[in-house]
Amino acid sequence: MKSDIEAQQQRLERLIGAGLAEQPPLQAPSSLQARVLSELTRRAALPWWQRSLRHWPLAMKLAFFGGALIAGRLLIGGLAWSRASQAAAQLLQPGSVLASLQSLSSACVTMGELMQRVADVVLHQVPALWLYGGIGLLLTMYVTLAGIGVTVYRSLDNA
Amino acid sequence: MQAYQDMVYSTAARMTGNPAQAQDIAQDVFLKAYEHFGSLRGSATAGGWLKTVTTNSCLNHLSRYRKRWRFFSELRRDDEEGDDPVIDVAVPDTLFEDLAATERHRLVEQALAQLPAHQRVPLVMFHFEEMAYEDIARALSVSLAKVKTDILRGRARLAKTLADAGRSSGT
Repeated sequence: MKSDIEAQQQRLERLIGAGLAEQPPLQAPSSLQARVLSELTRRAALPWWQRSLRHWPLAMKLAFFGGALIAGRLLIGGLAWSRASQAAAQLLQPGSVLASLQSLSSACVTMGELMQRVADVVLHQVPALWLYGGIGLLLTMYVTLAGIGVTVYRSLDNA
Repeated sequence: MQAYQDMVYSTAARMTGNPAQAQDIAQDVFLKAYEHFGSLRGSATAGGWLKTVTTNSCLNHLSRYRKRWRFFSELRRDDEEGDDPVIDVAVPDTLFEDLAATERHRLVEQALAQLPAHQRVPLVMFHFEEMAYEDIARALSVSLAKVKTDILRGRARLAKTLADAGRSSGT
């Protein structure tokens, strides 16, 4: 039985394959070439500052990168001169990265403890019936919403 | 551009099933080609390059819709995920051989465009782009079993649509 179906599937593949192989390429609309050319003309007419960086004149590219370097340098220099730069400088030190990681890990531990307390309260102080009822309600709502979504999608897909 | 415009447009039109979107994609492809004109001019691989860029552009274009239909299509077609899907299909003996070639070509294009995207795209990639099942699965980020099943169902649906169209055209 299964081999019959497989043979039928192979026959279908050959039939469709042969049918599609006979298809000539579709003729592109005559407007396509004109559209491409007009878009190229429009892009070529754009001033250099409205085009991507790749198309900027070399002098402008150099000026841009030079300006960006100077601006970056000034920013770092400015930070170093200000009081806030102390914090920024500390951030750049290897020790401070470790300190940040340490505070991050302690925050995670605190969060974990908090979650544990919440779970403790929920499991020991909330009646089991309420707990299971709440979970059941959430699941029912989830399944209902998914069902509505699939039904709407199928209706729109088949329309 | 003249040498390749039909090929680029055909690929885009068959993958998207929408002439207006196909024209937009073809325009983008030729604009990209213009940017690479230096390396493509006189290259023997220009056709392949254009075809690949067109296919990728179509997949990018479809991807925002694909995420939606993949979720729902997989939800409603869990049976398609088997390794060896057994799908019973009615295979007609011929696809309206008695019709004139032009009419036949028109009906085939029409039937292709009517297929749902999750069947049309892999079917076009397999039969027109001559891509292997594995490559199609990779390109569409779906399982190999799903690609095979979608192509099989696409063929069956196409054959049925063509058989129906042939019967109504013949009468």
